[in-house]
Amino acid sequence: MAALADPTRRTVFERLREGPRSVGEIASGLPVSRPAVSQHLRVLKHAGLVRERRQGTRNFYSVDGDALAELREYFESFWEDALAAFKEAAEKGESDDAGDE
Amino acid sequence: MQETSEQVVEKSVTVSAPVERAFEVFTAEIATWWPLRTHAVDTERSESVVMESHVGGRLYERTPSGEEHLWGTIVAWEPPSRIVYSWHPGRGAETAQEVEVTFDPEGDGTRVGIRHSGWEKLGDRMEEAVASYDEGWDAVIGRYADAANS
Repeated sequence: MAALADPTRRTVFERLREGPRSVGEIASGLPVSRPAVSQHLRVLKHAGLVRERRQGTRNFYSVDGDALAELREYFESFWEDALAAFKEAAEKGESDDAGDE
Repeated sequence: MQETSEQVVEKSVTVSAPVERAFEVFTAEIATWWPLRTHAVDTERSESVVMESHVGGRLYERTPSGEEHLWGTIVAWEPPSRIVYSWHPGRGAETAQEVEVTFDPEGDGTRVGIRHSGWEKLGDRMEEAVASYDEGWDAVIGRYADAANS
């Protein structure tokens, strides 16, 4: 997740958490130029963290909700893996008296 | 964003061991089975996991040179039926989620349930929390990045 390693990029992402924003809105109050913000948004978009929507002549950026679903999916398989390893260990100790492995 | 109430991960497994044994393997013997090569902050060097057996106790991984990475802190310790710990491996405690592990008799064995919750504390900051796993936790980052980039 190098996409959020850069502090400015993280700030850009933080700002989008408050709601959809245009590049201009994101850039205002930040000590970086609009092209720099656009570049950060490109990286965030490429990482799947941010999505872009055109409204009129302006592009609005927002946090991508699918990223959360992906994360959830990750934790599902994380615990599946851990529990499978646990089961093996718990039943190994059992094999002394329960011969049904 | 999606409904945060959906963001609870529940998993369970049934093992042939009795409740007391299942509890012991999950806690005191966690180092014997936890998949450190894929599920750790330092997947390359860490070789042990320690779960301190009391409320306030720490859950952490340790490298041969004694370097420790905290995963969380025990918030409920009720042997042999239930434990709860905070969960923020490689991240600050302010992004902590909660993991509840329950041990219920089922036949001659035990049903072990995992409930990983507290997502609502993060809401749409979750992506950011994943990002802060950053150095290490390779499996998380790798899988997540693959999914996000596909």
